Amino acid sequence: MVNKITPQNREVVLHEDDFIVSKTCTKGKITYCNRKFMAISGFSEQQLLDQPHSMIRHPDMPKGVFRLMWQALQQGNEFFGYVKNLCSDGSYYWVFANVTPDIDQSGQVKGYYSVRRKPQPETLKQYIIPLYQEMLAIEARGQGASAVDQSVAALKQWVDSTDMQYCQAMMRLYQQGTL
Amino acid sequence: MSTRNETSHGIPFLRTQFVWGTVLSYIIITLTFAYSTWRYGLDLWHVLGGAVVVVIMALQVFQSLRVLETLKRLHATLNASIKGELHHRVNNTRGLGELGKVAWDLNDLLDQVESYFKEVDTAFGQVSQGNFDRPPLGAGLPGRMGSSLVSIGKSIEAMKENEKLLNSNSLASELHRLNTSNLIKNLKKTQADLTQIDTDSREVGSQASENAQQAQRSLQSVEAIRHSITDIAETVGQVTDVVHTLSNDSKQVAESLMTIKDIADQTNLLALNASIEAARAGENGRGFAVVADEVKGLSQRTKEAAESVDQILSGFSRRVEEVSAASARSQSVTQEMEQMVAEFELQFNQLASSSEHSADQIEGVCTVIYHSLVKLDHVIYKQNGYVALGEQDKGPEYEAVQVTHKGCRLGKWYYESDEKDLYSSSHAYKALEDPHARVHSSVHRALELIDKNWQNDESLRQRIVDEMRATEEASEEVMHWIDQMTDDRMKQLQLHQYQAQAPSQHQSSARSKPDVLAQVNHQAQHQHHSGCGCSH
Repeated sequence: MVNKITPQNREVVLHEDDFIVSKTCTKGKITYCNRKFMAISGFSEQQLLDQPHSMIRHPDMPKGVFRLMWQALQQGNEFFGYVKNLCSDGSYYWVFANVTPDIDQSGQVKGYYSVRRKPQPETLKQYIIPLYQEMLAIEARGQGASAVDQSVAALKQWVDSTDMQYCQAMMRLYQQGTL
Repeated sequence: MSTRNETSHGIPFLRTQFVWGTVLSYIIITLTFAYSTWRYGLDLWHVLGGAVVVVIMALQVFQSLRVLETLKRLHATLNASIKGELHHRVNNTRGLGELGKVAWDLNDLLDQVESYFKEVDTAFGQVSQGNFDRPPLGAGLPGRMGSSLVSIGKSIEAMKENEKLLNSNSLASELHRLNTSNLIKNLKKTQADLTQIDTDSREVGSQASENAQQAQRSLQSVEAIRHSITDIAETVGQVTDVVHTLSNDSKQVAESLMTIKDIADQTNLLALNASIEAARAGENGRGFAVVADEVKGLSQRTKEAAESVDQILSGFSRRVEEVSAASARSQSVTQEMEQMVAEFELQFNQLASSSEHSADQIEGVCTVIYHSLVKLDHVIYKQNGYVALGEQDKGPEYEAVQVTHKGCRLGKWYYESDEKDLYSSSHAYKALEDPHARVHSSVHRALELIDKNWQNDESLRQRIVDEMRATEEASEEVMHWIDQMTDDRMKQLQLHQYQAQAPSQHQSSARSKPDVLAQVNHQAQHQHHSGCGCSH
């Protein structure tokens, strides 16, 4: 439905208290997005609903991060991650995303719930952007699924070097701006 | 509505009111249209006007139905939220104006409430699993909600500190317990070793005093021998004097015999002269009287010479008796001396053998002492390990335990000292290497783990305790094999003593004194340089 958007080198910076919320079904299609989401991304509710959440994915994002996210979610865990998203006009905005499964009273996963907050620009520059560039380079070198595997392996190696779990490391970066 | 509600009994719901109102409006419009057509006939404007009214009404009905449908969704969402399902939202409210705003406000409220509960839920869920590094995130949540999450985060931080303290206490106490039980065992072992050293040293002491007594006795024997030898020398001196006198006497005898020969010659010459003079007898008889006087003088001298020889010979025979007696005395002295020398040699052999025994004993003591030192060093290594695990900063103990199993005292002794050749064929020596290497590697691994975030990780703490337990187990093996090596060495030394004593009985007579001395010296040197490792 949405035409291919050409990314522009223009950043939309979030405010301290910006609180972006969206929900997807178990397949990853958007079932809800709050007004802040629409205001920042520039998409309307009609453009977003029923579309795969990956429609706002920026090409600078390594696939390995989302692979890790789905692994965590399928195990019933929450996921933290720094994500670069695409606006309808090609601009981009960085968020610190927290994705959790929506579970109904019978314990069934009904979908996923994502809250996104403003990340610290210094943290992005110092840790996340270099890491993602490395992962992107690995993905660009390899072919197909194995390239993503290698990229995930590189990410895990980076996590191991911090002596923490992945989410713990992300949380530490978000809260303290350093590892 | 079919469902009964606790409120508004008998009052129809909006939907019912709307349906009835709409149906009523349509009926009135249809009736009005039918009446006007019947009364005034079919008119274009009339029809057009009626159609416009119907279309507008239809739109109104559609919009009203959306409103009703949205209200129904709002109702369902609120209902689900009341039951605790906070993940429902109301979307697709475009164009519904005030109702749309209500729906968005509800969505925002639910976003906040759901996020709040999810944050609290996740944070405490993680806390219950022992992870305190997932505080609830309050950013973006307004007012009390945000500040409440911040305070929850602070409480979790406090819980974390508390837990850290508890865990650090629990690790410390577990390590302490492990350490104490083993320390006492190690110290008891060292005590037993020292007792052994004490006993052995006492034996060495009594051995030494026995040696001294024996040496004293040897000294007395030597004194007696010296006296005997002096006697012999004197006797031999006397014999020499006697022989010298004899020799002088012999010269005199020879001189006396020469005199007798001269006399005989002169007597012969006189006899010749007498016979010549006899031929002339007749003429002059006076010459006989002179010859007779001369012969008389000669016989007198011959008599004197014979007496002198007789005297000399009797003196000679007396001196020969003296020589004989002196030589008999010297023979008995020599026999006495031989006996003494034999006794002396026996005592000296005993002394040598007992010195050898002392040397072995001392080597045994040194072995025990050095092995105890090696063990103590090992215990100290472990103690340093425990101290390094307990302290926050990397102090001298931390540095001390970084040494490898080849660099510590035991390792140097094992791999570098001369003594390794002494044991290289022993089973215990070979068996010692592996557990010793394990002691070091386990301590090193435990120290690597202590650098990690063990305060919040039960499994890490367990691994540290497991590594130290492995250290203790390996250490016990190390102690066992060192003890085994000590035992082996002691047995070896005892065997050496037994072998040394058995042949010494036979060899004692064959060995010359310098030989025995050389061996004793060698023992002493061996003892000093390599017999015990304590000197290096």
